[in-house]
Amino acid sequence: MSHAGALARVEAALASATRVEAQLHAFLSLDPAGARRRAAELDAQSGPRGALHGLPFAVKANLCWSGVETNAGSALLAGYRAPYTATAVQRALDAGAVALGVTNMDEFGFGSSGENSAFGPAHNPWDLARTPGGSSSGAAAAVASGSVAFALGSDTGGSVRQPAALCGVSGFKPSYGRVSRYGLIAFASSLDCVGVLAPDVERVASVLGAISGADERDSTCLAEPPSAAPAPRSLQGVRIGAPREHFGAGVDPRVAACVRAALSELERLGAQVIEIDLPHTHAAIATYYVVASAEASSNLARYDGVRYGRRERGEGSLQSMITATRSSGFGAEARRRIALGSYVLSSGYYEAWYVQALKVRRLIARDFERAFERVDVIAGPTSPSLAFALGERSADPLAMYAGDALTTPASLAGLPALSTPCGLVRDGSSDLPVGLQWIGPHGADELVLALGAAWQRASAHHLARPALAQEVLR
Amino acid sequence: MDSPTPSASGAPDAAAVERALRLARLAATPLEGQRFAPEFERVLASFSELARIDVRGVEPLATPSARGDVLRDDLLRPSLEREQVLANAPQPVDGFFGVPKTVGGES
Amino acid sequence: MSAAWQIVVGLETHCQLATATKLFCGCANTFGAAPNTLVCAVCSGQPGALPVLNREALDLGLRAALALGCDVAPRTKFDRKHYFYCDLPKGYQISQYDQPFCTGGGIALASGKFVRLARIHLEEDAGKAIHDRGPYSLVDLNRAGVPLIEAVTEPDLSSAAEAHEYLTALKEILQFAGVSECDMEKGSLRCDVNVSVQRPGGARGTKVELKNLNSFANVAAALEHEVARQIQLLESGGEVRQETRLYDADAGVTRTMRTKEDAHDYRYFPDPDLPLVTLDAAHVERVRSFLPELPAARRARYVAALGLSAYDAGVLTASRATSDYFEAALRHSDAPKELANWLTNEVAALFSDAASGVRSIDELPFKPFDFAELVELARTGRVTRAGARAILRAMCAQPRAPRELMRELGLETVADSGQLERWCREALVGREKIVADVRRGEEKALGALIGPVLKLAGGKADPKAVREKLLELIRAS
Repeated sequence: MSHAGALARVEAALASATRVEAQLHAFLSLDPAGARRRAAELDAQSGPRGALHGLPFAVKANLCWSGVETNAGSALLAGYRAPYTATAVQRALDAGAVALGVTNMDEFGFGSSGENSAFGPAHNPWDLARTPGGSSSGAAAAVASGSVAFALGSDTGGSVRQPAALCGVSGFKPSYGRVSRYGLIAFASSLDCVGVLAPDVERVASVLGAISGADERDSTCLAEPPSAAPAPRSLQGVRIGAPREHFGAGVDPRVAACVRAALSELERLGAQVIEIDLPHTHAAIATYYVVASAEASSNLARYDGVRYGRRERGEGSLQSMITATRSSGFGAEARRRIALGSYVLSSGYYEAWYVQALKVRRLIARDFERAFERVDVIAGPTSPSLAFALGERSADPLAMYAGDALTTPASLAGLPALSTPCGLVRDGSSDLPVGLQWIGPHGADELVLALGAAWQRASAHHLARPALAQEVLR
Repeated sequence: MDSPTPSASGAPDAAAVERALRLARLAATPLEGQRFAPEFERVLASFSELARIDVRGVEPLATPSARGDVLRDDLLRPSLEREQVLANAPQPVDGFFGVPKTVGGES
Repeated sequence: MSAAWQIVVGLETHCQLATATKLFCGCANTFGAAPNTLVCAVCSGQPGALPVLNREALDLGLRAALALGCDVAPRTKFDRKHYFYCDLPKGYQISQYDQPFCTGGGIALASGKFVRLARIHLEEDAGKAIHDRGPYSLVDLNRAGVPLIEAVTEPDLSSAAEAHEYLTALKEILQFAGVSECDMEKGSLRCDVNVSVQRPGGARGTKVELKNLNSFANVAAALEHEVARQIQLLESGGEVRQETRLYDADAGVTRTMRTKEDAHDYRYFPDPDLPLVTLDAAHVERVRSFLPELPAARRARYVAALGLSAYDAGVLTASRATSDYFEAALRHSDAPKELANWLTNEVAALFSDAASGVRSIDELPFKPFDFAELVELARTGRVTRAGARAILRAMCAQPRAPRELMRELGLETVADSGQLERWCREALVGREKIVADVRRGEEKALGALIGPVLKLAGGKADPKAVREKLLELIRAS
């Protein structure tokens, strides 16, 4: 770890961020003055230092941050400044981390590429013509470019893991309920998790330790103390399950090959790789989109132009104002998902769609439970594809949804899941990162992080950096 | 919460799609006009595989949350200052949220 | 009302619970504050805010369930009810759909008819929208999130009078149980009415919902008008449309608010932000131990065990405060009838006299103990009734012990038998005719002598004692 003071670190981070910002558009806003001020305060502080002292970090635009514009990537919330701060953000700040700014994202979390941002998409530092993934697109790009020591994001169906994989950084979705959702602008209440992106798993674990734990403001937050830094573990004897379905038809063979190579490395390090089945994987996307859209249609009902957000007049009546505000404020994907959610919850369709999806959800969760009777952790590709070109999938929602095939199952089951870089694949003129996803049983966050960290101690994939990043921010 | 209708496994009902949009207070923008509904129906159709999965005897899993009986004591906590409450309001009026004039209404 | 028609009425009553804070956040549950000053991120539906259930609200709901004889569910959950309106911050109301915390129970009317409850459930209140002030409608969210119970009856009521009686009884029970103030003027009790008419033995008529009823009298009046309207419509060959109507109290009519075509699909589904709540038997019994004796039971006890008249029992139990005060005083007294008498007459008179300075039982500055002592002084003749009244007024001004005031004001009746005898003998002088009448058996004639004795005594003689002394003297002579 660097011994630089907080201010020096923050200056380096700001320099990096501003240098590449025009190319990446990772940030929706930067607050250099505020960051410097806070860093100076921290340097002047005597007494015990927080666990994240002086670390520059970025906040995804759907995490409320008092007094700062957090618009969730949506035109509808342009200008919105929350009157309170999200628990996860506050805890990171209280641990001494310094927030640099707010990162770009797909509107309200709806997307896997960043192209559904109302403020223009972020770009992938490995290839600026490609997407960094989504919806935590800016967060992944900022970490990959070396501009921040970590970023707080959110993961509902893969929105931290997938961009982490496509940008070659470590990204973690904790067990559902591990980190308070208070202040996370809600997308799907039973799926949303605050997640962490960082250059390595060790950093991820430190951040999780600071932000996790009981919060009386969130009724779904587990009443447990924050997770301690995972004790170092050996990979010797660890049983790793490789799901047949995660290496199947929809996965780019180069990605599959890269991940298989990583699994061989793990075997050489003493782990045992066992082929397993997760038979309901094929239903995960449909299940996820039905359930998540239903909850989203409900959570986004509050955006009516009455109390906050941008308002459109409509034809002069209240209801037409609400319709005009929502129709013009939400982007196409948001409207699609809200409509879908409204449909599956509506009278006559509720049982056949929503309840049916919840039953399949249970089958997906059971698949994992059965697997964990035979293995300690499950591993496979995070994303079925490499980073794709901007515009390549944006016209076809189903093509976009397909990218979530491997991340949505763990979301539906509420399991902890980590993406770690496991190699590079050449595509055209670019070297593009591949992510290895680790999935653990519910509550086994420390185990998953310990295994990921163990692998990173014994390998170097996570050290690969895009040319854009001039130095690794430690 | 009515009994299932045939639509779940067949093509989505255009009238139901329209009703869903109306319930959600959404109108497709003039630009999208023609495209939105068919695209939506296509997405729905692709998810209809769910209906064919055998879920007999399976309980719905609404949330992976392990918690139950979460209650708080009836203790006062500070409210926001009114200025904070109205800070993002599109049309604050004399300490209220202003909205287009309505007669009567839902409540 | 035409005797050929049967009236079928069901009531949905919303009562605000008497908690300190709102249902899902810690904002104050208070009426009358300046707009938007009792609001936080949660109850204003800010992005990212989350609800946390108030245990006191649940317990008060349970108390209501027990007080009304309902069956408490073993488990209960919350559902989201979606619709768009300016006073609904989240675009959905957190309510209960298919697993309310209790079902069944009900209220017995005086006629013996039992009005069954279908269910009671918990839900949060919406904010308030004002439409008659300026060019915009104005929204105040102070009320948003206040805890409510909604009690839904079966369609067991058959008249406006029964509806009025049911509401009065419901209010009384919930007030006594400490669940709700049930004050329609402050909005802590609201009532919607469902009414249809049918031929006796015929098919159930189309039901119309009436809203915007802000007093018990309006509920009854609206019902009467609506029933008349429906009957008139049907008798002239028309059809009753299923709809919601508002009651216009000034015009005395109901008007269409919205028809069934506009009916909402609320898209209920279980709220994923709120875990299931188990209502175990031990906890329910603990709540039951907090339930005070309810008005009907108290009335029965006052009549049977204390010998009060049904009327007095009714007056005493009109409010929990009065009933509690009476019982507190009773602990220091052996004379329930006298206590009741004083409360229902002399003390009640204080409330309607502006000069007394007290308008209700809650404002009495003196303790039940002192009140009991005063009543005892009057009962035993230590002071005359008039004297006791004077002491009572003095106690309103400053809560001092009645005995002290009695001495200070010189109101103690003369107990000295000798002095009394002297006054009596004096009064007898020159009144031989009356004496003769009394000796003959006309004891009523004594009445004419009591006044003069009291005058001699300067009001400090107990009329009863005077009467006895006079009789004694007359018989002895």
